Amino acid sequence: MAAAKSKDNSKADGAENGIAESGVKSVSSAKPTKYGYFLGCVMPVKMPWAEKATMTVSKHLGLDFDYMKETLCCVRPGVWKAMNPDWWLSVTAQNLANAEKQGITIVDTCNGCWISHYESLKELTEEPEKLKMVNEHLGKAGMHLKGDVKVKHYLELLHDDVGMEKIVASVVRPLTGIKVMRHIGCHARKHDETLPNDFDEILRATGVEIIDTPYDKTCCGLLLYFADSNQAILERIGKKMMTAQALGVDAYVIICSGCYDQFERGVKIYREEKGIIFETPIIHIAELLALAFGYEPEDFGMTKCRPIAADKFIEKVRAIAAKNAKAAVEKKKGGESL
Amino acid sequence: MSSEPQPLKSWIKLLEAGKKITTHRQSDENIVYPLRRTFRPAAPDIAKGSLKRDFEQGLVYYVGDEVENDRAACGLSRLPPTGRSYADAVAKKRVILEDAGVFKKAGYDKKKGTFDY
Amino acid sequence: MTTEHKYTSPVFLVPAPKIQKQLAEPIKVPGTDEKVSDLVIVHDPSKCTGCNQCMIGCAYKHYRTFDRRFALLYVNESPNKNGFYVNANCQHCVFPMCLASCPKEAIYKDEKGIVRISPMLCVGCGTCNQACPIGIPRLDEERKIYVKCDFCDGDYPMCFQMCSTGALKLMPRKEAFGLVKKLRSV
Repeated sequence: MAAAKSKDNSKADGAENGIAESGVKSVSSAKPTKYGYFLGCVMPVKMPWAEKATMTVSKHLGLDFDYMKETLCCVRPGVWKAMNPDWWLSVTAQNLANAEKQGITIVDTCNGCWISHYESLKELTEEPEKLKMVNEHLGKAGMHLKGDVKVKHYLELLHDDVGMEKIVASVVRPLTGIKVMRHIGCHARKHDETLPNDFDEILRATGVEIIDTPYDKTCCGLLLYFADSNQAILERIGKKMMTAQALGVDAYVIICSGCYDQFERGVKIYREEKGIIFETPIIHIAELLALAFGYEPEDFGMTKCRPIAADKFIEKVRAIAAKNAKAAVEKKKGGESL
Repeated sequence: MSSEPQPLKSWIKLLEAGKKITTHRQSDENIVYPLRRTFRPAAPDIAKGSLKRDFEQGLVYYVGDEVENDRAACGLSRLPPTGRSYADAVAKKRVILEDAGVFKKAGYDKKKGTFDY
Repeated sequence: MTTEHKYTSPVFLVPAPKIQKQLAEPIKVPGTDEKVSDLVIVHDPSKCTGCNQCMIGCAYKHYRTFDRRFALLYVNESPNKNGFYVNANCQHCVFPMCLASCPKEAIYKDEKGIVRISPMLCVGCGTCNQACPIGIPRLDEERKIYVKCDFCDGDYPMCFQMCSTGALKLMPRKEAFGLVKKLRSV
C-alpha cells in the first residue's frame, strides 16, 4: 500500500512538471550545459541497475543528461600510466576528442575514469608539446583535440550543479533508520576532502545514518589485485566486508564502478574459496537517491543480477516508508481532530 | 702421440657455460651473469588479459548475451553506447595504439591477437 | 580572484600551481661539504588509502613487473592502527647512514644529490639495510646485490605520478621540513 502510494507520489512529481520540467528550464536559462555520461568498462556490464538509476535520478533532477557516445576504456590510469604516461595520454585523448566533437561535458561516476580524464586533460592543456604529440597520433585516426572540453565527477554534478537544496527537496521517501557504511574510493580523495564531504552530504540528504569505521578510507585493492591478489582480497575487501558484517549495517554505499568490480570479485572469491558469505548488499549512491526520490526498486532493476541480493535492504526501505506514511496519516488525523 | 689435437680445458669450460646460457634457465643465468636482470616484456603477464581485451574491443569487459539480458531486465538498451555499439571507434583506437607504438613495444600481434613475449 | 579552470569543475576553482618535476641543482648544506637533492618525497599517512599504486608504478619502472615485492618504496598497514597506512621511502639524506656503513664504498652521492648504490661494487652484504633508520635498501634476489630508490634518475618520480590520493607529495626540501613538522604535531 505504502509503496504503491510512494510510487504515485514520484509519478506525480514528474507529471506535474514540477521538479523535472522547471529544473530543465532553470539549468538551460542559466548555463546550457549538455552532460554526457561516460559509462566506462564496468558500469554497463556489471552494474546495469546503477546505470539505470543514474539516468533516472539525473533526468528526475532535470538535467540535460544523456549517454556519451562512442566511449571506450578510459584507459585505466593505474595500468597505463605505470606502463608509459605517453601511451596513457594518447589513448585517453581519443575519448576527450570524442566529447569535444559531441559538445558535451563528460560526467564520470567511476573515479578511475574521472581521474584519467581530468589528469590527462590537465597535462595536455598545460604542456603544449604533449598535446602536439597526442594530436599526431589522433590525426592518423582522423581526429583532433583542442582541449576545449570539461570533465566532471558525478558527485560534483549533484552537489554543485544541481545543488543540495534541490536534492533535499526531491526526497519524498526519507530513508531514516537505514544504517550504511560508505566507500568513496582513492582517486576522489586526490585533491582535497571536497568530494568525500559532498558524498557524505548527499548521503545524509537521503536520511540514512552513516557509520564511521577505521576501514572507510582503505582502498578497495583493484590495482593491488595485480600486484598481490591474496592481500588485495584478504586485507582490503575482506576487512571492509567483515567490518560491515560485524556492525550489521544495512548496505555498503559506493560511487565508483571500478571499486564495485573489486568488491564483487572479493565477495565471489570469499564465497567460492573460503565459504564465507557476506550479506551486506553493495549499493550505488544513485540507487539510494532513486529510492529516496520515490522510485521503486523494480523501476531500475535493483533486484536483478547482483552477487549479493538486496532483498533485505529493499524490505527494510519499504517497511520504513510504510511506517512514515502511517505516521503522516495519523498526524493528519490528529490535526483534523484538533 | 696422437695426431688429433686435444681440446683445451678452458675451451670445454666455455662450451659448457655456453650450453648453460642457451638453455635460458633463469637460475643458471643468474649464476653465470650475476649482474644481468631477467628480461621482462613491456606488458606484465598479469595485465595481459585485460590489455588484450582492451586492444580488441576497446573495453576491459566483453558484452555477451548474458550481459545483454541483464541490461534488458534492468530496462536498458541491450547494447551499451560504448565501443560495443561503435566498431568504428574501436578501429580508430587501434590506429592510435599502432601509431603510438603500443602494439610493437608490448609485443602484441594484431592479426593473431596474442602477445609474442 | 578565482576563475573557473578550463578542464576543471567547481571543486577546483583555483588552478593548482605548477610543480617542479625534475631535480635541479643540489642544495649545499651550510657548514659542511655535503649537498642534498633539492626535491624530496613526503608521505602523508592521513591521506594514504593503501592502494599500493606507488609501489606498482615503482616496480614497473625499475623491473617491468606489477609485482609489488620489486618496489623500492614500501607502504604497509600500521601495526598500531587499523586502516592507517605508513610508508618508508628514501629521503636521500644529508648524512646517509647507508653510505657511511658500506664496507665496499659502493654507495655514493651523485652530482644531483641522489644517493645511489653502484651495482658493480656492491657485494650484497646488507650492512646498508641494517644502518638505514628505515631499512630502505633491499636485496635484489636476481642480482644478489642491494638496491634502493634512485629518484627515477632525477626525473619525474613514478611513485608520485601514480599516487591515487595525493598522499605522496613531491616538494622542495625546505617546504617538506615544514610539512613533516606539521604532520608530526597532528
